[in-house]
Amino acid sequence: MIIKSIELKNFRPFYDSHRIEFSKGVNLINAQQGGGKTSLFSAFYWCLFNKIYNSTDKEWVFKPHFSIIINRQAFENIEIGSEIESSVTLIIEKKTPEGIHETYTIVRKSKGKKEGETSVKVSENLVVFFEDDQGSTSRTDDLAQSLIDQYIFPPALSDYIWFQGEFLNKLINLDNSDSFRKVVNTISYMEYYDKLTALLTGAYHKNQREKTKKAKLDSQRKNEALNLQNNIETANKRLDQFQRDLENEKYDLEVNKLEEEKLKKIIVSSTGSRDLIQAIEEQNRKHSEQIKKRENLDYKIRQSLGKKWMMKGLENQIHEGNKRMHEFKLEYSKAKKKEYELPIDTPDDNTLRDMLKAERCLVCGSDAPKDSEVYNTIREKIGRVINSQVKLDPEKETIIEAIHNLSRFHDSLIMAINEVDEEIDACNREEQEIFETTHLISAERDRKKEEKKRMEKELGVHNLEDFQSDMDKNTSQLLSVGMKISKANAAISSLKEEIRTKQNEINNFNSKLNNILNEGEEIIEVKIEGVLELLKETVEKTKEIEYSKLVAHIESITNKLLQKALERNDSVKVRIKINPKTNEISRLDYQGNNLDLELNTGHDALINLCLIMAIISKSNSYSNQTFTFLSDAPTSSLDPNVSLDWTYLNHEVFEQSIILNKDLLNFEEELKNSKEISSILKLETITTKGEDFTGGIANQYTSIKKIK
Amino acid sequence: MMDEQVNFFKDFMQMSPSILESNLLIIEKLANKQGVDSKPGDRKIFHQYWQPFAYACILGILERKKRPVEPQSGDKINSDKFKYITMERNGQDILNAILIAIVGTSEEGHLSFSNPLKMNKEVSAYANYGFEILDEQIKSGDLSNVQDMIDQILSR
Repeated sequence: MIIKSIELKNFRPFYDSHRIEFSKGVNLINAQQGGGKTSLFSAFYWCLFNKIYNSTDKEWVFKPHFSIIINRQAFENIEIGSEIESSVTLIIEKKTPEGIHETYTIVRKSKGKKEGETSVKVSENLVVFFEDDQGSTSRTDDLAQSLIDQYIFPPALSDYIWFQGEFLNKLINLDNSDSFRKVVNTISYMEYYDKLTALLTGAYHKNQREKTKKAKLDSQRKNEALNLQNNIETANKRLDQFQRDLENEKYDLEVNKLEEEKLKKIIVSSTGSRDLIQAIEEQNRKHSEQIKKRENLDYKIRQSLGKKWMMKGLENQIHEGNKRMHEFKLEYSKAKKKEYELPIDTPDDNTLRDMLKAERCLVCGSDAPKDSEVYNTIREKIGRVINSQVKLDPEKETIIEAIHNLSRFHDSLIMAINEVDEEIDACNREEQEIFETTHLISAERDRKKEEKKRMEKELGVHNLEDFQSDMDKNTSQLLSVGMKISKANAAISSLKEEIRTKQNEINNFNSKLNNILNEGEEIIEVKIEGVLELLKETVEKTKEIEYSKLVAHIESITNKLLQKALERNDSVKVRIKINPKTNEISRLDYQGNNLDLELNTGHDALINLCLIMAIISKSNSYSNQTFTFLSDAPTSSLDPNVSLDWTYLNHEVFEQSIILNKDLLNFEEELKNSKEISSILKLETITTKGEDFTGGIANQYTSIKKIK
Repeated sequence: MMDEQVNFFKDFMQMSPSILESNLLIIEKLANKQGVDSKPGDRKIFHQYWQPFAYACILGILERKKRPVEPQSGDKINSDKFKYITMERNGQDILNAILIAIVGTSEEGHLSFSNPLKMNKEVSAYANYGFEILDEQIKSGDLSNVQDMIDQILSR
């Protein structure tokens, strides 16, 4: 990197435009204290990084306000409401690793508006112009800043290559080993090792995470696989059970089918046995019925015999008896009439009643209408014979009474006796019928029994009833077997379905298991892990070695610079010794004795300067990129001669250095003639209103005068 | 001659016929136990005790012979086997027929009704003779079952 030029316009003490051309080598800018060195130094920073150094407060101001940027005089010169602009333009030339030259024009502007004594920022922008294979291109604002930070000049690097002399001791604290390490890491190629290590570490950690994740996944997969295996085992056991059950059911089915067949054969062959038994039972029933009839008939006969039939034969005697009783009745009636003084031919009561009915007297033939005298007379006569109070002798009365009681039975007795023959005949017929029927029934029954015997013989059974009873059992059993067969068929269907389902389930499990087993990736990360570890180890080892080498080089270069810087000086000759492991910097004399207690701040400052130069040179040489070395009053604490010799050393180390110095004003002639110094500029403060005017900065500005 | 009128049947029914003990055996052979209702299937000819007596009486009447019931050596008279009321209740026709037939057969005729005792004697006498016939028939085997009796009846 070479800064070709800087152009300032109304920037801080620089009124109007000022352009400074720089060349390779050492560009020295001398100025008195307060001559504008720091403002010029800040111009570089403001253009690239939008920050300026406040030497009063000794601190950086980021994104400074317009009022701090704008030149007071220029601001004073404009009217209220007018706008004014301050800008810095840097032209930088870079060379790519391929050797291509690139030119970047970086312009930062800040525009403000005057409002009374104050100003208001109107705008601020940054533009980077450059050329590439597509022609002229520009980037603005954030893009421009990115281009600067990432490519043109990284800001972290600027802390060490561009620095304020006041901050020299802070850059590297010789008593703090970490600060040296930090500088080396920041501006040397060591950062690449760190980056590589970080990358590798990151990759390693990522790998570890991936490994953990995979281990977790593997574990999950293993568990899943185990579960699946268990499920498969369980399912297989269940399947085996189903198949055993199926076999059993099939066996039972076969057995039942055989049993069914056998039963059917038996039942078919015994078709007639039930009918036969029923027929025999029917005959038996009929036979019993006939016997019952016979017994009833017998009873009836005995009853009839005892109550009626035995009278048969007594007809004549009964007639005779009846006759005699009738005769006595007549005799009695006569006697009674005689006693009762009734005419002998007085009709009997029945006749008298007939007469009443006819309303006519059958004796005299006269009419006897109701309630007539004849009628009443007839009526009076009724019962007179019987009901008469006149009694004959007791014997007669007894006899007549008995006769009266018995005589009325005569007709019914005769009738009954006359019925006997018929009744006996009927009984005989019935008996005959029963006999014949019984005989027929018995014959039929006997035939059936014979048939039964034959059937028993055919069937090989002792007893057809038992056989039939068994048959009923067989029929019932056939039904039962039929039901068992149905159940077995249903069970078999169900089991087949279960088996099919279970097999599908097992297949699914196996498929899932295969998927899981096939999912397992080759454990590449183990190999990667190994490689990463190896790489990391290698990088760290290499870094350690390289670091040692680098530190040795830095040490060597620093000591050479120190030697040259102190060559013309009678002060203590110092050299440093850096421990690459601890980064401790020892200050020694040429004999190797420790000089820590004998050196002053000037020595430390020189050591720091040489150390930084050495570190930067190694950075430059490694990356094949050079950056302009820029420092503001770096040698303030040095002896002037040492300061001068150190300034010459910049020529050896840097391709370009810009040194703002106040210590070499007295060496202007020598510097003009030295080949190590490429250009010399002088900053002078110009007071516009006379030297005694103390109106402030607005009445002063800095001018730049080229000396060489 | 009676001094006062009697109710023939009222008195007669409460009487029991006079039967020789030996004739009771015949009754026993021909009839079921006294007082026990018969059932179908009984093997005796008659179901009730009075029936063989009535048959014997009828046999006597048919033969027109009677033999007064008098105590004999070794054979007592039983006068309380059954009452005529039993006959009247279970075989009124038979009793009426016997009474009327006795009126028609005996010399007393209707006079038998003059005194219940008299009628009882008549009835018992005819039956007594009839038992002789039965005894012979039983011994000869001519009366061993119902059919034999029916045959006898039919032959009259």
